[in-house]
Amino acid sequence: MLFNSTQFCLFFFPLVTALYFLLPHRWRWLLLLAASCWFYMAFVPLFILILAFTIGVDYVAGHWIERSQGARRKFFLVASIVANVGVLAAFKYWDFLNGNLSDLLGTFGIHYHAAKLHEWTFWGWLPAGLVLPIGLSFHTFQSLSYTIEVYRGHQKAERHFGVFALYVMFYPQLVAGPIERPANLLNQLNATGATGIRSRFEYDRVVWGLKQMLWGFFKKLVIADRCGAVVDQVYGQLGHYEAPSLLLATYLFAIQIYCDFSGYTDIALGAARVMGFDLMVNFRTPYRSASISEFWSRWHISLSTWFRDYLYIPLGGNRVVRWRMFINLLVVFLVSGLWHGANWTYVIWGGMHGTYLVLALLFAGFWRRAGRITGPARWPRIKRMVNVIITFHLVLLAWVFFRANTVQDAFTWYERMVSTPWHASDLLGLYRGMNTSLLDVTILVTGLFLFIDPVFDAWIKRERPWPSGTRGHIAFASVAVAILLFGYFGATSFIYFQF
Amino acid sequence: MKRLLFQGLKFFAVGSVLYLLSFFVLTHVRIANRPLIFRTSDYYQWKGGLAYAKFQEWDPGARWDAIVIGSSHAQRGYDPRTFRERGYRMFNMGSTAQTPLSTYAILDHYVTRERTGLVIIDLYETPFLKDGLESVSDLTQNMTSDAAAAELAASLRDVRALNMFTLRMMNKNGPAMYKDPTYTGSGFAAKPDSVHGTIHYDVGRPLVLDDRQKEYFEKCLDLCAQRGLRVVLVTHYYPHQSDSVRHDKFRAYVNGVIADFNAKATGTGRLHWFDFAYTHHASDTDHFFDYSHVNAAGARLFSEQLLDSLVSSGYLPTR
Repeated sequence: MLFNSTQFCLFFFPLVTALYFLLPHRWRWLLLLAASCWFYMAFVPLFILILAFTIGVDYVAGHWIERSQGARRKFFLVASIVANVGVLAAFKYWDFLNGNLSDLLGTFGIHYHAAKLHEWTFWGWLPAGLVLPIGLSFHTFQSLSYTIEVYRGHQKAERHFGVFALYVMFYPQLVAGPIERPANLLNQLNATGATGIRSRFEYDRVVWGLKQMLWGFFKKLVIADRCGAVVDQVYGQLGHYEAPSLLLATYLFAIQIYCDFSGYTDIALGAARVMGFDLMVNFRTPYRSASISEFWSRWHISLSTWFRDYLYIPLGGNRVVRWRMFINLLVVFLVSGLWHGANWTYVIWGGMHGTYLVLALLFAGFWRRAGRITGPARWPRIKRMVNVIITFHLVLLAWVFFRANTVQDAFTWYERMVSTPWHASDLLGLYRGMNTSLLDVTILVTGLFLFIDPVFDAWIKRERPWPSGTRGHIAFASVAVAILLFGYFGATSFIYFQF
Repeated sequence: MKRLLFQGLKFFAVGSVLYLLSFFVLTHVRIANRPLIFRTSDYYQWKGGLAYAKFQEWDPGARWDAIVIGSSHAQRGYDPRTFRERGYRMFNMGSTAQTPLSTYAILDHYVTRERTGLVIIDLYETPFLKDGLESVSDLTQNMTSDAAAAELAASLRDVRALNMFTLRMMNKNGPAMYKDPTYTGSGFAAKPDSVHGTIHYDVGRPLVLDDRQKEYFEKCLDLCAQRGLRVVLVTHYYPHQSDSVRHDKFRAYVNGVIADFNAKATGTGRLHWFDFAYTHHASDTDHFFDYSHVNAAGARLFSEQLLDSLVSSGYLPTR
């Protein structure tokens, strides 16, 4: 079920929330679990079986890990990892691995062909045309973090199967995160305190959650989907456009992906908050970062911390020799790219970010000295501003690979950026090609958003107090009206659902 | 909880005022003679054109031997002048991209048993594939009845319908913004041109019918049955080069609906479908103006063939 569908907004969310507060505490897990199943099965009902498999394996693994010692303990952890990664490999990377293997063997004249995922029917048990289960990478990682934490002794194995299933399936963050840790979410599902499953109806918290959801809908429907229409137009036929349109579309994609994903996260966090749950913060105005490492501490925080805790640190992190640390960084970002999708475009995108970080570390001393000699160190605000602009454009260059349909398309973008002229007529062509006059309004609304986003973001995160009384109503009612008037409707999916 | 409801109402009131105020500004401020609202999204339609002319001409007190209803196939394919020459009064209620969802609202608010001898529902598969947004946008601006427009907008179950209806109310007393020169009266629009150049006929496309359109098609039939309206289903000419396989699939669906309907109906209430899609001698170039719509000559040819069939089957009296 999509958050931006009438089914969710008018029926599912109000009904589940109302029942949640009406039910006694001891039955709430059951309601949320049933609601989460309903939410997930609204996409492809059959895929609930994959979730059930993951949940079953990790529930049992958690108990066995807790009860065992030494090599046996490690064995159960490895079994859990193999099962989870196996599911990912089968459903997400099967076609990618076989396609590449086929190409590789083809160069040696060896013919190799394996059935594609959508051709699998398991002797007729499954319908043909199988696609990637929605949010597979998210809930697999969330489930894995549980067994790893139990193995490390940071988390007790969950006794209640229903509560554990709910930890993996909690509907607000089931399909696109934030990727929760058991220390946060599982403990709230078992909570005896003020937050979590035993929370009471509190006006302030409910309104906070609803406002966060509203802001999320604004980001998705008004900004992301509007920008998406222009981006799709240009990236659908890169060869037809020249440098100005290509650059504009990539700027708009940077805004689209931020608003799409952080909009989803705001709706997820808001929906959970209404029911008394505090989920992880996933974004902190990432495009205001002054370096790539800062960017990764502000963008998709739940994933970057997951990779830090469960891959980078186990590989040795920075407590190894310098060259080894660089390799660790590159490995983490290449895997992160692959996590996003089974396509070389994502791998290159991850590789670019890893390379940025390695280069930043290699030249850190040089830039410090250069800053002292040439002057910027004396004006820290200007220095930061310049760094923010440079960082944003480095991220932008990497987004080209993330958005392009193929590696070849991404290179076409770079090639045309330097080889085509900078004529305003190209933008006029794009304007006419949109078939409507949406481009001007899109740019206007997006520009306005860039000014108000920090303000609303600070309100939503409670870093600044809400405007009180009628002023507050006007501020948030304006957001609602903007959704109605400028929303790009049609229930388009969120970009991160595919991961 | 009381506080939430009270503050919610206050929020709703502030929001409504802001919404109406913004809408007023967007519909009344113009750039290049174009209200700003049309620059905000692509689903708004101007007041005017064929649907506007049709509903303005519609006389609620008149009696009709036949009313035709359906999409642009109906609007451009059933010529009232041919009916008139044979002594029958026909009004064409077909409109651009009209889906069963819109057909239901028109039947509900404009067609009565006392003034209608026969309802001819034109069947064409394409409207059954759509969500109905385009037609709802057209009709909410151009229908004469506020109640019909409101019901139609609500039936779309889409927030965009609220904007369309608000636009209607904001622009209610405004003039039509454009005219369609092909309108010839009694709801009919004739295109004299024939096909020029090469036409690309899409074949092999899948037929995925929209569930809500299927639901509303059956609701249309039930509504006519409840009101005692005599109904006949008709499909007008398709070019011979168009996708006959897809039409066969559509035929299977419609035949299923007819069988279910007839199982409950008796006598003159039973449904019959005149499917002329590929049983005609019209030329793909001389009697069509594009890949799908008949031109004026095609409409005349088709209307004559249809009248012969309706008279010989007893749907219309001999005159």
